[in-house]
Amino acid sequence: MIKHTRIPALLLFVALFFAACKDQDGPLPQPDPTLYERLGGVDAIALVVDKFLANVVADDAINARFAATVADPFRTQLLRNNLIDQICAGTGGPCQYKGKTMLEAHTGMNITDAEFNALVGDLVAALDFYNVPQQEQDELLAILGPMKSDIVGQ
Amino acid sequence: MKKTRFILSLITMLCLAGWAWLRKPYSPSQELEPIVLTAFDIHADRPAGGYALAEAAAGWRGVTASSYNPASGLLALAHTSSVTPRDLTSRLKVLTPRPVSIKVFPEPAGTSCPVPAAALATLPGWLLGAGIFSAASLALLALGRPGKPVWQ
Ligand code: HEM
Repeated sequence: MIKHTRIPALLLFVALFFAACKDQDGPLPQPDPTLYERLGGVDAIALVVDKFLANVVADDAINARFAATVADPFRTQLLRNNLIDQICAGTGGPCQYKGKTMLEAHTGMNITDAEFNALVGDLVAALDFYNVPQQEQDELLAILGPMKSDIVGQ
Repeated sequence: MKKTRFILSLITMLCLAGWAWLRKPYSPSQELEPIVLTAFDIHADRPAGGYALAEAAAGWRGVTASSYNPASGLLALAHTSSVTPRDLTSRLKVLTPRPVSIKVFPEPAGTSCPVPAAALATLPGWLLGAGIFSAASLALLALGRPGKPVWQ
């Protein structure tokens, strides 16, 4: 008698076991893509950084600051790669930022609020040029924005 | 002999520690083709002319980005070293009757590092080379009989 009452319980157990196994065979929930992935990876970031640097060089509100950088291809390269690595690492990409801290890099420059805004404007223009969606632009600016206190007035 | 070994070990350790400290870890950006930035004074009489030049230049081989700013009158190009600023100037001159010249920015006032950045970047390589060389010398000394220089 006891044996018979156990059969439905056993069947239920087996059914649940297979149901659980079936669930596991289904697609696993994908992690949300990182901002790095949504931006399009390192090649897309490099395109935006090149456009941004071209905007900065054409912008006479700040281009004098980069006179030495433009004059020396090695420094141009260093700044470009540091910017790419900084954005790549900050957005969850497989890069390591190897440059100076923002405070170290900008100390002694006495950068003004207006200059900071001009540079951010040049970055936004580059993002707009490549049709980077507003959501991704906002997320990127939210990563770079807090660096302002280490850059302005140092 | 003991002194030589000690000095060589010290040099090896210092060079390798210096190399490990200065060495840049790998990053995908290292695989990108390097670029140069060049600004041109294009003296466009109308902004539309400047924008048209910027658009044309953006499509040229070797040019990775192009930007015209009507406020400064400058056209800035990011390009690989497969095209020189002189090539670009001549190509721009073909497209506009206005004068085109390379903009040279005045160097900012103040002190700058007297050692070129490119020379500083080679330092880790030199340290690694020196470290390997002194480690090899140390190994050769160790192979020789104690108390006797290996070249005897
Ligand atoms: C969110 C804003 C900014 C970010 C993320 C940023 C980022 C950087 C980075 C990564 C470097 C390279 C550091 C290194 O060499 O190790 C750098 C250097 C530099 N930055 Fe900025 N920066 C910002 C704002 C500004 C502004 C507003 C100015 C001036 C208008 C400025 C002027 C410079 C200059 C002149 C250098 C040195 C370039 C060289 O050594 O050739 N930066 N910045």
